[in-house]
Amino acid sequence: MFSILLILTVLPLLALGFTAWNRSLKASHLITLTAAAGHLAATFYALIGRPAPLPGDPWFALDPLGVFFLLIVSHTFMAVVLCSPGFLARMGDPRYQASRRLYYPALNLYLLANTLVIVTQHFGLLWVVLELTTFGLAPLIYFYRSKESLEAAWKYLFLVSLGLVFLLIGILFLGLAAKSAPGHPNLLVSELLRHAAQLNPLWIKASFVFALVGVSAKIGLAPMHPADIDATSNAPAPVAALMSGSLRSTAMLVLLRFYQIVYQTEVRPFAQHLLMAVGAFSLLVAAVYIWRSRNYKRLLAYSSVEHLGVITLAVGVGGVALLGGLLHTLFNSLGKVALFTMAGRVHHTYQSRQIESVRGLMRRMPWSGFLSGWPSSTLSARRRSGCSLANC
Amino acid sequence: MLRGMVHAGNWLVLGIFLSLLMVIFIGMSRAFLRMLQTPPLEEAQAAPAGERFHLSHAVSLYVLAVSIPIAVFQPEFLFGPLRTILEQFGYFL
Repeated sequence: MFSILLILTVLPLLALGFTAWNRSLKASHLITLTAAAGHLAATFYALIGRPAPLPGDPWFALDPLGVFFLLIVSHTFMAVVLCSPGFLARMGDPRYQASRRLYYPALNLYLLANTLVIVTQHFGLLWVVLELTTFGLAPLIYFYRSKESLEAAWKYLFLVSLGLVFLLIGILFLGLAAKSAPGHPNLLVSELLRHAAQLNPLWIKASFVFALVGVSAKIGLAPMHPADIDATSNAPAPVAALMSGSLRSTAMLVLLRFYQIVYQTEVRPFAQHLLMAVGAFSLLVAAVYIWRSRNYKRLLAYSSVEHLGVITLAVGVGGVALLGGLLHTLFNSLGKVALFTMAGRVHHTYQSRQIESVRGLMRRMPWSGFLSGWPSSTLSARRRSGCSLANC
Repeated sequence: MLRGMVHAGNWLVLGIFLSLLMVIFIGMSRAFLRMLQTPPLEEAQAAPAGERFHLSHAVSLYVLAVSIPIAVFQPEFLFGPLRTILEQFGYFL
């Protein structure tokens, strides 16, 4: 288990160091691709081999929840890295030179931060590494160096960091809930799960509310979604694919870590109702803005709000709906990578993000048109049929 | 997901869920069909039709295609951890 954790964290760290030092884009791509392939292989090993957990209460571990989300992050990252040379080749203009230089180091920092969020089992440390994912992403959102992208990057940094302040308060409340329990468990997930029945319900309730508000900005749940929408629609296509495909899923994992503990307490019905309400509200907001949106990248960003709303709703309902929600997280990530990658190609060809300006896509760009139409229709079909064939 | 809502007897949630999904589905289809199927704008008529197959197309095709065998065959390496997660949340498949 230790060696797998080491591979998963050291590979992106080494790639980050090399790409930050190296100036050749080609070499940076090869190193990042190697790190992504190694990361994906280690993820599959963890998934198939199920290595024995570390003895005691380790701060870093890969539990089943972690392995599942690691698969999403690793797969999405690999797909984005494969598409990156094509994207950077299109961004040959000298004004993007500084952004191109930052691109691969920021990607590797993103993978490292997301991996740490997944393997960390201590809530205090989890907060720190979650903040790291925000800082890793900001330079990528500002890739185009335009006024809009600068505004989107700052807005994202500010609102998500504000959300993380709420999350920190939630973690402090969790600590207070643990303090009142016999044995004073620390903030490790396994410790809290063991003592869940003895945790103070009032502090647990407050902790869950603050944690939900806090991670909502990162997940993109209404009403904390605006920063995420602006960032996703102004970021380059591969970055938007990462944000929608994996970052929101990682933030959802943080929410599930809290819910794992709350689920074992008497606060469970309250948490379930809260999750269902937030999920339904996100669906409502997405339904309104999807009709009003004139920009196809914003449309896709609102589609992410909708999908994460569906997943939150499913988690709240629980039972077999939770299985649907988890599978939907995986399929939404895969679909979003395809949709945002194709949106990037369409943007490059039509030089516009306006729906009105894009006409005859199937004639002019048959491959991109087909791949844009397929995920949007299959995702909708999966939703209606209960997320996947597995649930039928 | 629908089965979960029916089992839990959450009829209100089920109603809201289906109604909003219908609105979203129509809204998304309206935008996508307009982009995909309408005739090109006049200035774009002169642009060459067709597009070369690119690596990003292959990647997109792969990430979409991989979801089908996962859903159909439900591989144990994926559903094993999923089953454990569900058990942690009190549901036994």
